[in-house]
Amino acid sequence: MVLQLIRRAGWLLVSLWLASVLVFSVVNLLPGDVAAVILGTSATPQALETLRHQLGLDQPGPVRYAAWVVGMLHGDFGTSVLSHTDIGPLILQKLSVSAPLALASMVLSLLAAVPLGVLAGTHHRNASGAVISALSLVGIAVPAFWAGLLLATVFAVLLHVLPAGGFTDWSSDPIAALRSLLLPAVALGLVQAAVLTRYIRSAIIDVQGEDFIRTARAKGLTRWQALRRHGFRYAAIPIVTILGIQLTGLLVGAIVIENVFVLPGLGRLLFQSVGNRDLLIVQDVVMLLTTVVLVVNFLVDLTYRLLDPRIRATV
Amino acid sequence: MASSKPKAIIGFIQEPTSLDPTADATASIATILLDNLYQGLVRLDSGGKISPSLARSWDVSPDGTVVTFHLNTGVKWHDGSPFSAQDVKFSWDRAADANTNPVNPHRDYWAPVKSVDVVDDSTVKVTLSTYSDNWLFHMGQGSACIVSSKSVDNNKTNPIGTGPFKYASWNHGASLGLTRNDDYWGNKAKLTDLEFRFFSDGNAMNNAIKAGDIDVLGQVGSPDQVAAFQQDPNFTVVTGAASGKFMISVNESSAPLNDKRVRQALYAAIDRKAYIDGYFAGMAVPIGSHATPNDGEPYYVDMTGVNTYDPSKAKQLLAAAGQDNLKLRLAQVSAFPYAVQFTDILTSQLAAVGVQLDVQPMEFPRWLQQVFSNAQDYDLTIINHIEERDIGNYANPKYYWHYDNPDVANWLKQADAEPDAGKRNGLYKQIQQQLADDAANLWIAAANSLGILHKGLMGYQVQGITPSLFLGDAYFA
Repeated sequence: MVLQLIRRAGWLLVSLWLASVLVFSVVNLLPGDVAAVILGTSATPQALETLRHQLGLDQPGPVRYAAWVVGMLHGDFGTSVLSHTDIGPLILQKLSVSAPLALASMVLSLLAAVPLGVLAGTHHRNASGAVISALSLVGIAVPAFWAGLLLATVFAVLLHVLPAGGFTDWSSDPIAALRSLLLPAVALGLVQAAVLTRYIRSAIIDVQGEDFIRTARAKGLTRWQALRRHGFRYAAIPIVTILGIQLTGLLVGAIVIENVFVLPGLGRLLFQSVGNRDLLIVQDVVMLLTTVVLVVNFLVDLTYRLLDPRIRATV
Repeated sequence: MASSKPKAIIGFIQEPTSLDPTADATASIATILLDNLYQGLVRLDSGGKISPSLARSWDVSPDGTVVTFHLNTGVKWHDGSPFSAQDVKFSWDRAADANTNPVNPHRDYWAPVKSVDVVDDSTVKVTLSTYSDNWLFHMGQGSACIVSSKSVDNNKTNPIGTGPFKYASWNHGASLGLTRNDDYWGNKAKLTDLEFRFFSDGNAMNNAIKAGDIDVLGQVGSPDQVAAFQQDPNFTVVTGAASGKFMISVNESSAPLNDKRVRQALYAAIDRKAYIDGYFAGMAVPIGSHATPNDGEPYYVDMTGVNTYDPSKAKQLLAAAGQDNLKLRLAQVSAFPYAVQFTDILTSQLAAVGVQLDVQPMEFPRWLQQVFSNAQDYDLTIINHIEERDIGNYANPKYYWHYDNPDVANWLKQADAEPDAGKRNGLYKQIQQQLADDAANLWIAAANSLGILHKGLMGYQVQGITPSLFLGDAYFA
């Protein structure tokens, strides 16, 4: 078990290294550079050349890659060539928006999806199950940005009860900060809840057909008792997988939703930095997201082992 | 009535990329900071006329080569240190130097300057190698603002200027805050605080003003939405003079677009009215050459009569040039709403005369690389040339549209060096005429600057011709 853990952790490190090479190469393949963005339509070839040299853009790729990785290993995420802002603190500041947003939409989606999914699974032959199932399909089809625009139109423009966008900092007014995250979290959580509901539904349907549930029922347990004691834990395995995958989707969705609601989070930072070719920020943010995804997958893997003793034994 | 609300919140689409207009050509840096935080010796008023700022007046020698500026006294930097003629010399020598790190994006503005000399604490003498009519105009732009040698290295993150507002905060991706400079040397600002709030698109910004989150739309994302605000009694729509050359640039470096007849045919296929009604909701003026009708470009002459809408003539010209089956690539910056909407109109207008378009959508940085600076690999592209007095680019055959006419290059040189306004404007008229005759590019319209504000905000001037959105006179009634 310990040896397996060490091996998994080793793979995690190798994956991180490969990811850093990939992130750096792909980001640096983007056409156009920050010097051209700075000089705009007044650029002369000489000015471009001078500025590229001043910004160190003319250094070979491997040199820039090494400087980036060595910096990160020392906890130094560098400085934006455009705004001269320290990127580390900048990312931390953006995380204070994106992390609560991701967490809130995850919690909201679980709060909605678990009861609905279980209900749809246990009643999948009834009308109520069919209605939930149909609604979840609609939910999957609705793009998060569209849900966001709709929510903003109704609750901000027409009813004036919540802000249409923007973010009040936690330090200045925590209640206002929560209020500004509410609509985006709902918009983002909606699609997730729909996807999750469908997975929970089918997991519950599947588990009801399992031998051990039949055995439990034969022992005299009611359907609910059997599910609660034996079924949920088993059904949780595919759902944990989906949650892990959804986290990735959540990060991507946050980029779109943060732009719709003008939230100064990681997604908006990433989006703007790509547009300005502020590549060091792009590299740092993408690397951070990649690390989160890889670590979550690692943790999901560990969770399987806790949930199902059979995986512990076989791998 | 006393000012009821001390702070104004202004909505913007483009967020500044840094806070130093002498290091970065991104337009919103100057829009937000010039005249509010930083100041130049001169500034451009709302019509585009050169007016005093840090310099209270200036004299020009009879031959036009020596300009002596008399500076305002009692001016202080936001860090408390006194402003003097030394700061002007420092700023302009720095801007003109090719080795300044980072290089000034408009170093070419100082090409006519031989020397900048301090006469005394409040007098600066600038010697030009030859008279340049455009030089003083350019000294009102963001890249020519005066900076302090003590604080210049930190201006990107902590800008220090002499203006009526000083820097307060910048939350990247969200907002930029300025606060009133109570030690300001001139008329103090009426508002105590300004917050510029940044939006990803026009839709989000419109929602924000309707929801009451912001007071003003500093930039109007989509003119077609203006009508809704005009009918709403809670809002005022203010319009300014027309500026910006919205045009279809043509790459003349190779066949078939190096053939004047083909370019004239394309121009004859274009009905400017369709763009003005379709995209600008009527709030734009048609243009027919590379100049716009405002005080910033006093040499403007209406050239829309040279290339008029005439599809049958377009077909004849194409046939004469042997291009009945013409297919062209259109480089489109998909982030610019006007480029996207123009594309639809252009595609159908050209299709009507048998020209097919292959639309290539791209981001702005890629456009800068592929179309503008490196490869110059495109046939047509839709762009708004926003800078005033940029007609001089037609003297450069390497500029991305590859227009090469030695006569025009000569006239441009003569015009800039001509101190007599009558003769100068005559030369510029000749240039505009030649450009239109050659159908060097397909100019569509200049847009009226627009601002949408909540009723009650007074003293607000729309930005368009001026590089800055000056808010020193704004207040709430």
